[in-house]
Amino acid sequence: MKAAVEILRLKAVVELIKLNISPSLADQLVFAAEQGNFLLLQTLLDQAFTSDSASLGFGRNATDVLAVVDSVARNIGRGLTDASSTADLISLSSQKLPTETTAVVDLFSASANKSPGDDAHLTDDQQFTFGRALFSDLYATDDLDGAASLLDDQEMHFTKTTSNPAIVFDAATVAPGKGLQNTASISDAGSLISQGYCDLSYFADDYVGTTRTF
Amino acid sequence: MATAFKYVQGDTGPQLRFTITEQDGSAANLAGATATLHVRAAGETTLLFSRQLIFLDHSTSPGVAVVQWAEGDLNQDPGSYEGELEIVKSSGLRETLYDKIKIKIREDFA
Repeated sequence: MKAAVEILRLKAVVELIKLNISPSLADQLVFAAEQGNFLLLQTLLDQAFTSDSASLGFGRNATDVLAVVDSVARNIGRGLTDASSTADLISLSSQKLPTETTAVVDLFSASANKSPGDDAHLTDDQQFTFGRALFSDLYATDDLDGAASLLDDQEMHFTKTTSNPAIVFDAATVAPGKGLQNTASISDAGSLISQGYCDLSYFADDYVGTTRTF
Repeated sequence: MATAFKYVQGDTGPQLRFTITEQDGSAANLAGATATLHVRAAGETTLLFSRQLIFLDHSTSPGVAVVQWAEGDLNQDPGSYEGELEIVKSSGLRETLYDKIKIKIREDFA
């Protein structure tokens, strides 16, 4: 009985081995080849090559665009910086304008002050001119009178007389100003008595000191 | 494969279409596999070139692959050549088909 069971078991193992062997035979591949024009595949390949070239072109464009985008981002940052600096310039220029206006006003006032100053100098020049004319008349008359003949003296006198009225006329116009000055000097004239011997009222006259009249 | 496929020197067509099946004729599941045709001169040991096959849709045309010759593949000296088909399945198993194909190339005069 056990032998019959072993036989059945061996048969089962053999069947399993057969099952394992048969798939291995079916795994071996074979092929059939044929020659022909499979235009569909060839056309697809040609189109694929053409589209590859086109896609490469697009890829490069996209790369350039990315670079441009980066540049734009940097420009935006710099633009803000420039804008702030421009705002500072505008505020500074508005402050400069009032400053220039005041400077012009100062120039006007300065020129007005100079005009009265010039007038004063002209007045001084006229006074000095008159003073010199008076001195020249005196020296010329003295020299000519003592050196030459009578005829010469007469001729010179006529000449100088002609010039003297002009000088006198000039002096008359200047006289109001100078007259005041001469009046002040005349008031200073007087006598000076100096002595250290005794009091001035002790003697009736100046016997021991010095008396000067100016 | 007793029939020799005839070509003219320098041509790139016509194509070769391979229908790969199991030995019992059932469709071979070659999804994810690669197939390459190696070509050498008949009687020589030096490999001239290798060309990878293009599989068609595995669901509609299982085991069908096409060889598209590239420029220069068939620009060989006139004579007889032979090719073997090598398949590497998605599992990494490499299986070279036993049968070879014969190719005959004549000179090009124009």
